[in-house]
Amino acid sequence: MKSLPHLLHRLFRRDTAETELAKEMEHHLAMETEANVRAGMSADEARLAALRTFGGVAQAQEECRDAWGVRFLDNLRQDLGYARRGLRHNPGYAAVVVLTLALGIGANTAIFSVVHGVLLRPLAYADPDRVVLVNQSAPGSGQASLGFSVPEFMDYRERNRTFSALSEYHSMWFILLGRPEPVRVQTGVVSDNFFDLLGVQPLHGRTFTAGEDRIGAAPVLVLSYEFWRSEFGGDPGVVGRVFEMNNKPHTVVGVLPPLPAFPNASQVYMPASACPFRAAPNTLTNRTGRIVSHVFARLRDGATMTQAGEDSRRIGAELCGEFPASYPISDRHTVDLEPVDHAFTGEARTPLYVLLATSGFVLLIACANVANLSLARLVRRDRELAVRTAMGAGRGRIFRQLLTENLLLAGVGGLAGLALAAVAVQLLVRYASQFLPRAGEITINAPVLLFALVVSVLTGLIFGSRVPLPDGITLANALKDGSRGTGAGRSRLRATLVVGQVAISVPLLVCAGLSLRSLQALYAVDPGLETNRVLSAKVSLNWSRYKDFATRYGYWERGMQEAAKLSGVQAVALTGFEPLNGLANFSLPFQIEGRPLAPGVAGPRVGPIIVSEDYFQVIGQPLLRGRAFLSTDTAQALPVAIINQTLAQRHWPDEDPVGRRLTFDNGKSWRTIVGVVADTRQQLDQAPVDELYSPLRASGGVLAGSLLVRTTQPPELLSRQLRAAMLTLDPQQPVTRVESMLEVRDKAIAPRRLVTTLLGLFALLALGITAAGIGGVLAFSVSQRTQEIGIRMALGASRADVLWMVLRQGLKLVVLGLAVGTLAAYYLSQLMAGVLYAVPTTDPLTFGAVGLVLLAVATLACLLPARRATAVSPVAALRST
Amino acid sequence: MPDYKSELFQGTLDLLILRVLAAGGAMHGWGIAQRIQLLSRDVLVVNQGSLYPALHRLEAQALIAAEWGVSENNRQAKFYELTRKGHRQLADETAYWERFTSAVGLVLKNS
Repeated sequence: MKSLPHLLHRLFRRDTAETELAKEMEHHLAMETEANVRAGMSADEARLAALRTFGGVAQAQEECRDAWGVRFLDNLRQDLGYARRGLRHNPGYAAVVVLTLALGIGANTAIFSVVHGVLLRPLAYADPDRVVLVNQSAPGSGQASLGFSVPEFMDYRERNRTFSALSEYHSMWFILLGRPEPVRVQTGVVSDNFFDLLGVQPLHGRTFTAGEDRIGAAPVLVLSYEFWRSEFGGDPGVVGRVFEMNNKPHTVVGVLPPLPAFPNASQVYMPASACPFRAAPNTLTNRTGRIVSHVFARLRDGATMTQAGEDSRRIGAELCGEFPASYPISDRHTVDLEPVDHAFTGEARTPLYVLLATSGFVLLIACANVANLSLARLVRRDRELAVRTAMGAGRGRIFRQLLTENLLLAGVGGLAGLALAAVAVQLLVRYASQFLPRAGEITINAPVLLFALVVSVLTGLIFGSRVPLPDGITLANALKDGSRGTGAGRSRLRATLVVGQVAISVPLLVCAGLSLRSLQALYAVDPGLETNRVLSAKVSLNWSRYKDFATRYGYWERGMQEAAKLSGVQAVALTGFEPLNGLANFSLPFQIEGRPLAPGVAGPRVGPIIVSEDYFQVIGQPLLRGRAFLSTDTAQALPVAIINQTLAQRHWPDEDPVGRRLTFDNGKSWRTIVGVVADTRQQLDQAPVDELYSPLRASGGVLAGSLLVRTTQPPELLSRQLRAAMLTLDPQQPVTRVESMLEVRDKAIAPRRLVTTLLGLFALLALGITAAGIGGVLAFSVSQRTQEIGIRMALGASRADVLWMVLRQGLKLVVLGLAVGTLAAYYLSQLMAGVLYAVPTTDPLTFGAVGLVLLAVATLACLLPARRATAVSPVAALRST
Repeated sequence: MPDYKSELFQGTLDLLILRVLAAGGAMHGWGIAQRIQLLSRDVLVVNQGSLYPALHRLEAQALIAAEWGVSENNRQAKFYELTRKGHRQLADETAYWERFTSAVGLVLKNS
C-alpha cells in the first residue's frame, strides 16, 4: 500500500525527489569513501572502492523510482513520446490509419447520434413508460384505426379503473390572425389535463387548467417551443396576447418546452372546447363521429399494462353490449394499449438498427485493415524491438508501448471521426426531420461523445491487441542481415483478417444491394398518373370564412381561372385528395343496388374523392369506360360517381359497372356510376385501393384541397407565379405549399432513399477498405517473397506462372471469405425483410451481383501486387540476400 | 534460481532495517548498512543496490518516515525513523520470522 500523500508528493515534486535521491546516494558514497580512507586507502582508491561496493547507481535509482509508484505514468509519458516520434517518422502509415479510423468512427458516431436521439433517449415526459395510447380498432370495417368519438372517450374516462388520467387529442389546421400575415397553424386539440398527464411543465406562463375544456370556456392557447421561436422570436411577452382564430379571440397562456413532434408537429394547442368541430353539438352526442384521433392515458399507480389492457377491453365489450347499433358485430371492435414511446418510432426502428449494425461492420473491417497495416509495420520494426528487448525492456513493456501507439492513433482517428460526424449529423437531421418525429432531438451530446470515446478506445484495443509480439526473436537473429524475422503465425493472422474482411463485406453489400433493388422497384412503380408536368398548390381554407359551398367553390373556381391564365398552363383541376400522399384514412360504408346486406355484416366502404371535371385529364388518369365528369354534374342533376378499376373489379368482376347505382345513405339517394378510370397509387409502395370519385359541383365544396396545373414547361418554373396568383384571390388565405407531383413522389421515396444512400455509402466504404486490405497483404507477401520468386524465375517459371501464383494466393482468401460471407448474408438479410419493397431477402440477382463485384474488385486489388511480382528480376533478387 | 534468493533476502532486509531503526532511533542509509554488518559480525554485507530501494519502498508504505538532517561529519543526510505502523509491522514480522526459523530448524534437526 502506498499512501496517497506520498504518491502525490512524489508525482508533483518529481524534481525535488530526483535531487534528493541523487543527494542521498552521494552521501552514502561519501561516507563509504571516508571509511575507506580511514582504513588506509588513498582518496582515489577509496572512491573507486566505494563505487564498486555500491554497485550500479543508476540501477539502484531506477529501483527506488519503482518504489515510488509513479512508474506507470512515467512509462505512459515515455510511450506517448515514442509513439509520437515513431509516427512522425512514418506519416503515411499514420495518415492512412487515422483516415480509415476516422471514417469508421465518424460513420458510427453519426448513426449512433440518430439512434440515440430518436430511439434511446427517454421522452421529455414524466415517467414516459407509464404513458400509453388507447387504440380502438375494428378490423372488420376495413379501417386501420378508428379513433374515438367524444361519447366513447367520456365513457372510457368514467368507467376505467386502471388509469389515473385520460386525455383526448386530435389535430387540425386553423388560421391564426393578428400577425402581419395570416398564419396557418397545426393545432393540437386536447383535454385540459393533457400536459399534466404527460408531466410537461411550461417554459413560460401556464398550461391548461381544470375546466378550460368545458364547452363555453374562454378560448386559450399554448404555443409549442418551435412555433414560439420561429413566429415570436422567443419573446416571453407573447403570454397574455390575444389572437383571432375561428372568429373568436384566443389568449396565449403559456409556452411549452421542446417536445417531440407527436402525434403531429402541432404548433399551438387548444382545449377541446375551443375547437369548433369538437364543440359542435352533434359531435358531442354522436357515438360514431370519431373526431378524437389519439387517446393518451397514464397508468394508475400499481396498475400494470396487462391489467389496464383487460380493463379497456372490458369497457369496449360493455359499450358493444349497450350500443349494438354503433358497433356492428362484423366490425369486430377491439381495444388495445400501446406504450407511447413505441408509437413514436414504429417504422424508423428497423432501418435505424440496420444502419447502426452496418456502420459497426464497416468499423470492424476498418479495424482489420489497420491491424494488418500495423502488423506489416511491426515486421519492419522487428530489429528495433529486438534491440529494445536486449536493452532490458520486458515483453509487457513493449506490448504496452505498441498499445499506446495504437490508442494514440485511435484517439486522433476518433477526434477526426467526431468532426466528420458533426457535419454528417447536420445533413442527416435536415433530411430526417421529414419523416422522424424526434429528429429535432438529434444532437452530438454527452452520451454520443461517450459512445465515440468508447468506440475509439475499443478500436485501438481491437486492432492493437491482436498484434503478436516478435516471438522468441533474439537480438542475434534479428540483427542478422536480411533476416525475414517473421513466423508463420503472423502471415496466418493476416490471411485470417483478409478472409474476415471479405466475409463481413458480403452482408453489407447484400443489404445495400437489396435496399437499392427496393428503391429501384419503387422508382419503377407506375403511379398511374403524370408526374412530370403537373404542379400542385395545396390550400386549407379558413373554414370560419369559407363556410358554405358557394364561398368555397368560388375560391377554387377563381383559383382555377387565375391559374389557367399563367403562360404554359394547359389545363387546371381541383382535388380534395392528392395522390401519392399516403392512404386515405377516411371512408364511408355504401351499398350496391340490388345487393342487400345480411344483417350484422359490414358492407363495403370507400372514401369519396371530390374532383373537378378536368381532374382525370390533368393528372393523366385514363378513362377506361363511360364518361368523365361534366360541368352539368351539379347538386341539382342526377347524382353520379366514377370508380377506379380496383373497385370495379372487386364488385363487378364480370360486368360493366357503368349504369349501376350505389348509396351512401341507406337508399335515400342513389348515385349512378358513369365511368371507370385506371388505378392510381395513393401510396407508392402500396397496391392501388378502392377509389370513388365525386363531382366537385355536386359536393359541399372542398375545404382542404390541391389545385393541380398541367404545364407545358417544367412545372417548377411556374411555382412562384402560381403561389402569387393564389394569394391575390384572398391575401388572408395562406397557401400551404406549391410543388410538382414529381417532388410529391420524391418526398414519398425520401426515407428509403436516405437509408439506401447510407447503406450504399457504407458498403462502398467497406468494399474500398477490403480491397485495400487484400492488396496490402499481397503486396507485403510479395515483398517478403522476392527471393523465392527470383529463384522460381531463375529455375524457369514464366511471368504468367508467377502472376497466377500470387493471384491464386489472394483469390483463395477472397473465395473463402465470399463463401463465409454469403452464408452470413443469407441469415442477416432476413432482418431487412420489413424494410424491403418487392424484393425477396434472398434475391439471387443481388447475391450474384455482390459476389461478382467483390470478386472483380478483389481481383483488381490482387493484380497490382501480382504484376509487381512478375517484375522481379531474378538476378537482382538472388543477389540482394 | 537467482530471483528466488534475492527475493528471500529482500524480505529479510526489510525486517533487519525495521529492527535496526527500532533499536537505534533515526539513522541514515549508510549508518543502517554499517549497523547491520556490525551486528551480524560481518556475515551480512548489505548490498547498497538493494538497501536504498528497500528504504524507499518502506517509506512509500509509511512504515518508516524520512527527514533531512546533518550527519556526524557535517553532511546533509536523509535520516530514517520507524513510524507507529512500522513498529506494529516489526512485531508481526519478528513473530513470523521466529516461527519460520524455528520450523525450519525443527525440520533440519529431526529429519
